[in-house]
Amino acid sequence: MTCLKAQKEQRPSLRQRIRAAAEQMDLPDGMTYGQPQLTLDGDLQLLVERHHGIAEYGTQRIRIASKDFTIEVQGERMQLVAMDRDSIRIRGHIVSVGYLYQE
Amino acid sequence: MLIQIHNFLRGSLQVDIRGAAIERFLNLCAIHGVAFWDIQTLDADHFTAWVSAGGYFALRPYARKTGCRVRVSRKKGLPFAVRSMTRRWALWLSVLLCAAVVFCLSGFVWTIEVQGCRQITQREMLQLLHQAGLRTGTRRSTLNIRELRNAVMLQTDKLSYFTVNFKGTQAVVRVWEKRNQETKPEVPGPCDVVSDLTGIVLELRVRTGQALVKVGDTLQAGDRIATGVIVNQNDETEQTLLHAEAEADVRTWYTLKTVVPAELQTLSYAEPPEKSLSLLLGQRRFPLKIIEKPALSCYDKKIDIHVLQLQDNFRWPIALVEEQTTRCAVDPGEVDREALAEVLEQRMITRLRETAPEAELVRSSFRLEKTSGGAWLGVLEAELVETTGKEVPIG
Repeated sequence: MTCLKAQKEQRPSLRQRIRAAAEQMDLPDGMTYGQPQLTLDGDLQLLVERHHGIAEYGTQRIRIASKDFTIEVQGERMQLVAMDRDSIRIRGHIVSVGYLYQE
Repeated sequence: MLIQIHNFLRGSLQVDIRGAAIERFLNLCAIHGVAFWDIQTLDADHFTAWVSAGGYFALRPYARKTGCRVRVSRKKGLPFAVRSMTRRWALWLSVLLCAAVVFCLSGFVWTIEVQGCRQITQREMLQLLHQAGLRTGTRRSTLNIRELRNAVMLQTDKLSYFTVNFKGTQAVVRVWEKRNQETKPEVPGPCDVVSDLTGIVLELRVRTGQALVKVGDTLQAGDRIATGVIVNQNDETEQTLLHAEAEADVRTWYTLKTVVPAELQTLSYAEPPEKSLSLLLGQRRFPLKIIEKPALSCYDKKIDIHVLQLQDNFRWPIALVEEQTTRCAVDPGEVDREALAEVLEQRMITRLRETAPEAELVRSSFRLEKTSGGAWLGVLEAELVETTGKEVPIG
């Protein structure tokens, strides 16, 4: 039983296999897997595409939900310039962009 | 820029959002296609954001669902501007009235432009058109160009053809004149050719008849150049009468004199110009400011007419006339000899050319001298080459 479980754990999931195949074919992640695309314009503007909504909104910290992780943007005087179904545009003085994974 | 224009055209609202779950509210709106922009945080539970006019109605269910309160704080865009203007009936009425006036006035001819005049003057042509029915203020639809052309062509024999094209409220009349017909012989029967100039013959051209002078001879006015009487050399009593045709190029000399008084008068403008405005409606002029003023003895007047027009071709019979009257004083001045000599020489050469337009000016000399009375005397001596040859009946 434990042997089967170990084999199952070692076996890559479908998601991981698709991702590996996309990497081999040099395809962008977002196209195949729905990963967010972040476009950082210096430290003034950030465009997040394929997001899953805002988790937290403030002038110093904004958290944006995505498929596998949460994007944490820290900065000063940050403002949500535009938001629609596909993209979020943030403007302000961006200090850092980080990813938070759920354990 | 394009986004701003798009937002202006569709109309946008600034909404004031208060609630505990504003992020959830924004996410719900985004998922359902309600886009926000310029989201500003005023407090932890207080935001402002811009949303399209259509989006505002769509977001209200999500506000209720998330317990947020949404209030409109500002409105911007064309739909709101139009809505606020719908109550201003006087404005719309005046817009309609203006449109109606423009539409009515554009059906008339307000300016007539005549092109291509050489022999016939523009004034003559305009008078003929006026008599035929094309005048300022004529309704375009009432004009029949063919009838107009026939009526004008019957009135004059100078025209070969003319066209009338309408460009907006302007009628452009293009004129083609008759070419000069070959000159008929001055004397129908047998004749001699005489000179009407005094000078030395440079060249002689005898087409019919017998030459009586040769190159280098001096001609006096009235001397015969060629004769139409041909005598038979064998029998001198036998004569043949012809219509002589001949012309001679003659070198002639002219002396022109002009006297200019020694005292010169100059105008000086002491005061700034006085402006007066008046409105020109058709042919009538209405002063906009009626102030009785004493008549000026010496003044300089400049008149500017500003015609109301949409384009070059759309001119209305309304114009603003701006008159600038400057009072001036006459002061005695001194004559600059060189400047006077230059001006006088040019004027006298121009006068000479007007006197003999087809002559060739070979050389000229000018001198300016003072007369015993103190005036300036300009003397121009010119040498010309002219063509002469006038037909006169034999005998």
